[in-house]
Amino acid sequence: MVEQEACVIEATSLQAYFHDSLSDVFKQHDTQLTQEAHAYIVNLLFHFSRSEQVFDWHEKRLTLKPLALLYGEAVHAKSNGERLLVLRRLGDVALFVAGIFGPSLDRKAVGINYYIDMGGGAYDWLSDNLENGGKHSMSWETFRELAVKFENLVSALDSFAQNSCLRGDSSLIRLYEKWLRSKDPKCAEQLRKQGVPVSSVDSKLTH
Amino acid sequence: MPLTHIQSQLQGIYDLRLDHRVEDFLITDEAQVDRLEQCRKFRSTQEKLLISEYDGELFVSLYLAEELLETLETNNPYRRLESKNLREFCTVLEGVSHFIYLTWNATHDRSISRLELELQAEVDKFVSIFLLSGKQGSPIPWGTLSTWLFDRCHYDSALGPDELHRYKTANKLAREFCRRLEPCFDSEGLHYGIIKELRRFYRKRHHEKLTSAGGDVLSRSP
Repeated sequence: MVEQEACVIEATSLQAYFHDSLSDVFKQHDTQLTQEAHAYIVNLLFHFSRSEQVFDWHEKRLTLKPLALLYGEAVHAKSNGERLLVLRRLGDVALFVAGIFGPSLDRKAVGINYYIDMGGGAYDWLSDNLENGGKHSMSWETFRELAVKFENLVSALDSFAQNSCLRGDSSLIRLYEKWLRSKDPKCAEQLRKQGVPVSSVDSKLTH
Repeated sequence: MPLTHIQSQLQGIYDLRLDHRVEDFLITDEAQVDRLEQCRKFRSTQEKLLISEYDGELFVSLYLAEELLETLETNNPYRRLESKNLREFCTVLEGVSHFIYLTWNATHDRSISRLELELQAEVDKFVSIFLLSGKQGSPIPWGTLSTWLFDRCHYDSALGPDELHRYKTANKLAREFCRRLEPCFDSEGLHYGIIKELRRFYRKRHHEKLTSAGGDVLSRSP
């Protein structure tokens, strides 16, 4: 029970941090989002705060699957449900990578506009093909909103990444991952200094 | 030289202005390819577009195996396209298509993905063969060409899973695109409507190009 409680505290605090920080950034960028779209971005950042959620293991290392290959998986999908999931991942990965790692895309053959185009297109397709109120947890309106505002969202996430030291060796996400693995109090302290109120539950209690 | 013919045919279909001639970027020496690839283990193929970018400049070379060009010199497909030269013609055409698509987009400061490159090459092969066979008085029926090019194609067993997946996706999207154009194809040539559609398609990119090619393939029940 202690373990469960500790996990809830960790999750809530990081999501709360993302929520508040993003609210500020969206205001600065004059980007108005519905609650659903805002929550979607918060959950996206939280989900991708674990690098294995963004990258795939390939030949003993983490690699980023090209968007074109994800698109190919959607083309060859065996069911519409699978296709929805693949295109949603395509949109999510494109938004996260373009927003958080945008500067590194300058060194790639395809630039940031490719990610904006592919990701926005995937969300647009989802909005067109989701039945409102169907089995899927997301509404088509949210995906439409994400598609229309995709470029603004990338720009806002870029500012967010700069403000939050999300990039580089001392990045927040790396620090958070290290803390998740080790529960090192020093990491926790550094995270708190950067505004992430992680749980102070002792590592012994969580295992 | 067939290379010149192929380049001018593709540029004519798509109305492309390009200052570069493919012959000026041609390599036929495999050892030179190895040196350019710096001994990294890339798949050995008869056709390969070598690209490197340094300090904002793009360096491009097109490798075509000597025997491919010899076959096309001996059995010039622009005199007669037949089973003796069809495979070699397709391979060379694919290389020239890659070269033109890459350089045209680069000169317009547009990035492209490898999937788009492969997709365009598949369409280029289909349209070029269809037109050439029609011009020579023995048009290959649309269905026969589609089956041969898209359904009965073989993939190199040395392809990695990602590459194979990319080729299969390009193949499927190109087949879909050509299928939708079928009613517009005319064995006597291409009428202006279809040329406009092909030119529009050429200039699309990224998501728009893929969905434009695939049409409703994503919306159809698998």
